[in-house]
Amino acid sequence: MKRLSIQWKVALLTSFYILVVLVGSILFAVWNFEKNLLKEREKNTIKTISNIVESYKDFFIVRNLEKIDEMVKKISSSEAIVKTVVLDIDGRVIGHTDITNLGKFFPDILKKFSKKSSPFLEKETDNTVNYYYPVMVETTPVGYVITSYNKDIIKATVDFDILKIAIQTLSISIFVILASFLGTFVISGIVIRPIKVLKDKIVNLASNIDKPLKIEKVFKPNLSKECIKEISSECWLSSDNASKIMQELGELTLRECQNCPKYKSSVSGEIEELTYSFYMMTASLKDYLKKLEEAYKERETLNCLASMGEMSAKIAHEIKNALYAIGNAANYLRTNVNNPLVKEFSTVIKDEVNRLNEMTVSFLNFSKLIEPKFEYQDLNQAIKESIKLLEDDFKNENMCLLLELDENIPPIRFDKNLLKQIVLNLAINALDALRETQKDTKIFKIKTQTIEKQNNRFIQIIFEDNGTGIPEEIKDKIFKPFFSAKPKGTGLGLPIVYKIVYSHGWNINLQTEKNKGTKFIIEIKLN
Amino acid sequence: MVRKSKFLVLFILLLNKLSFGFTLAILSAGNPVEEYKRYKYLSEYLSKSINEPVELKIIAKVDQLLSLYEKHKIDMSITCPIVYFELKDRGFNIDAVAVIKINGQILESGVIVVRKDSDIKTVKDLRDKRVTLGSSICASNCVMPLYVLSKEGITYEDIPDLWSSGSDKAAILAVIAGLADAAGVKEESALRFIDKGIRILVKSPYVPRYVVNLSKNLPEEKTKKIIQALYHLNDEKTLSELGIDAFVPPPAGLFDILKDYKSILNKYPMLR
Repeated sequence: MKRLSIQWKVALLTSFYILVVLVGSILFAVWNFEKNLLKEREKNTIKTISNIVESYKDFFIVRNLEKIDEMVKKISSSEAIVKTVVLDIDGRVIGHTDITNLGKFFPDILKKFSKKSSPFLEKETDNTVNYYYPVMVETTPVGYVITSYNKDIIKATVDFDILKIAIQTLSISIFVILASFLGTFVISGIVIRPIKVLKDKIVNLASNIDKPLKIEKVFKPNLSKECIKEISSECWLSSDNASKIMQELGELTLRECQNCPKYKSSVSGEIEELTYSFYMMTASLKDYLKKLEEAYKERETLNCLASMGEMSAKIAHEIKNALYAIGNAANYLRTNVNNPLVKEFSTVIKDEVNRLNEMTVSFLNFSKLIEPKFEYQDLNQAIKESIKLLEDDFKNENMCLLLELDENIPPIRFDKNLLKQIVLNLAINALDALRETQKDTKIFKIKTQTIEKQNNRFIQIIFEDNGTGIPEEIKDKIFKPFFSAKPKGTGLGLPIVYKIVYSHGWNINLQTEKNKGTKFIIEIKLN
Repeated sequence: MVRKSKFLVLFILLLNKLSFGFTLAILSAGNPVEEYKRYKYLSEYLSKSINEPVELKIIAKVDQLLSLYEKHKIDMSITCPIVYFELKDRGFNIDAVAVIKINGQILESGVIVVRKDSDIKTVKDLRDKRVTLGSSICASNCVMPLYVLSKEGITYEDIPDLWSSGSDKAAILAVIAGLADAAGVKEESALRFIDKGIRILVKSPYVPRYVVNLSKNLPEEKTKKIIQALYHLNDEKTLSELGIDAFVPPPAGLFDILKDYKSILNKYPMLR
C-alpha cells in the first residue's frame, strides 16, 4: 500500500469505504427487515387462506367437491402450507391435501369450532400453526377449513427472498464500487495532476536553481493589472511578465502577495493556491539564494580585505617608523643647515611625511576590528554632541547646519563613539561637497524620524546636503576602501561609515542627484 | 319495391355471412377458458387452410348449441356422439366427418366406480344407493354408465337418489368422501383416482370420443378442403396444444351402439 501512488490509494480506499458502508447497510437492512417481513408473511398467509375460502363458499353449499379440491390445491400452493382439511358441518372430510382422507370424520375438530365462531389460530408444534376457519353464511356454518402452516418454511421463504434482494443489492453494490473505483481513479488523477506537475517543477527547480524563474502562462488574464499593494508596477497574477515581476519581487511575493486581498479573492481552490504558492516560494528562494550568494561574495571580499588589511597594517606600522625617522631627519636639516634650498626641500619632505603619517594612521584605524560597545542611550543627544565639533567649520564657511530631530525616538542600543565617527565622516564629506557648489545657500541637514515599512518600525537618520551630488559612475564605488574622488582624500571615510553601520546591524542607503545634493539614510530597525 | 327489399335482405345476409366467415363451435365439457386456448390453435389452422377467417365459439350448454344450429350460425362443431345424434335427430343438415384420436384411441368407455371399502360388489347392489354421474349428457360418463344399469334392469325407480355432479372429478370425489355410493364416469377419469380409494365396479362398451360435425350446406370444394385439412393435421405443436393425436375418418358402424341412447335415457327421465 505504501508503494502505491496517491491516485491508486484514493481509488482503493474510497472503494473500500463504499464497500464497508454498503455491506453494513445491507446487513443492517436484512437484520431489520427479516422480523417485520416474517410477521407480514404470516399475516398474508392467513389473509390469503381466508380470501380463497370465501371465494369458494358457494361450493360448500352445493357440495361441489371438485371445486373444493381446487380450493384445497389453491391454498396448498403456498409453500408454507403443510396440510389443508375441509370438513362439512357433520365433521366429514370433503376436501384434503391427501384425497385418500376424504370421507373421514373429525368430530373433535367440530368441538373446537363450536367454542369459537370466528377464525382462530392454534399452535400445534413449535413450528406448525393451525388456522381454523369456519365457513359462514350469515351466522350459519356451511363448512370448516383447517390449514396447517409451517413457520420455518415461511422463514425460509422470507430468508430466500431477502437473499435474492441481497444478491441483487450486492450486484448493484459491486457495480457501484467498480464505478466509484473508476470514477475516483479518474477524478483523483485529475486532482493530482497539478501536484505531479508541481513535483516535476520542484525536481526541475532543484536541477536549475541558478536559472531565472519561468512561468509559462498568464494566471488570470481577466484580472486588473494594478498591484494594489504597490510593491510592483504590475500584478504578476494578470501580467504577461509574471516571471520577471516575481523574480524582481523575490521574497516580497510570499510576504506581501499572500496577504493581498486581490490575491485572496482571485485564487480559487487549494490546487491553484498550491501552484501560486509554489511560484512565490520559488521566487523567494531564488531571491534568498541571490542574496546569499551576494553575502557570500561580500564575505569573501571582506576576508580578503581583512587579510590584506592585516598585512598592510604591519607594513604601515613599519612605514610609520620610517616616516618618523625621515621626519626627524628633515627637521634636523631644516634647523641645522643654513642653506635656503635645503630648508625648502626639508620643509617639503616634512609636509609629505606628515601627510603620509596621517594617511597611515587612518589606514591603521580602518584596518582595526570594530567591536561596538552597545548601550541604550538617546540617539538625538549623541548626534547633537557629535556635530557640535564641526559647528564652527560650517559657520566659518557660511553654510547652514540644520538639525531636525524627532523627539519621540526611543532610546536604542549603539556605540556613542562609533556614531560620532559616522556623523563626523558624513559631515566632513558634506562640507567638501558644499565647498565645491556655487549655490548661494549651502545647507547640511541631519534629520531623525520614525517610519513604518512592511509592518516594521524603523528609525531613520538622514544626512542631507544640497552640494554637487555624487556622479552616477562612482556611486557604486564610494563605500570601497581607498576610493576617493577628492585629490587629498584617503578613501577610507565612507568605508569606515559603512563598516560601523554594518557592525551595528543597520542599513545605509544613498540617494544622490548631480547638482542637487546627496542624501545618506541610515535605517535602524526597531524590535 | 318488394323486389328491392328482397335484394336488400339478401345483400345484408350475404354481408353478414361474409363478416362472420366460417364458424367453429365447441361444446365445452370443462373450463371454457382452457377450451378456448386449446381450440384457438385449430381455428387458426383451419383459417390458414381454407383461407378465410374462422370464428371460434365455446358453448357451455347443449341448448345454446341447438339454438345456434337452428339459426344456421354454425358451420362446424365438435361434440360428444350423443349431441351428434341429437343434432341429427333434430334434422340439422350435418355429417360426422371425423372423430378425435386421443392416446391412440378413438373410443372410450364409461365405468361405475365405488369406494374401495364399499360393500357394493355387483351392479345389482346399486339399487337404492346414492349414484352420481360425471356429466349430465355425454356418452361415456353419462349414457354408457346408464346403459350398464339398464342392461341390468335397473331404472330410475330403483335409484331414487341419482344426480349429476357436473364433472367426473366431482363425481369421483363425492364417492371418496362418502357423499355418493357410486359414480358413473369416463374410464380414463376413474383410472386417475384408482389409487385414491376407489375401485371400478363395472365397465361399459366402447363409444367414440368426440365427433367433428360439418354442415352439409357448405360448398363442396370448401367441405373437401376442410376435411383434408383435418385429416392432414400433423403439426406437432398444434396437436399437442389441442391435446389430441389426430382427426381420423369415422369407421363404419362406429355409432351403432348409441343408436338406442334415447331408449336408455328414457329410463332415467330426470336426465332427459
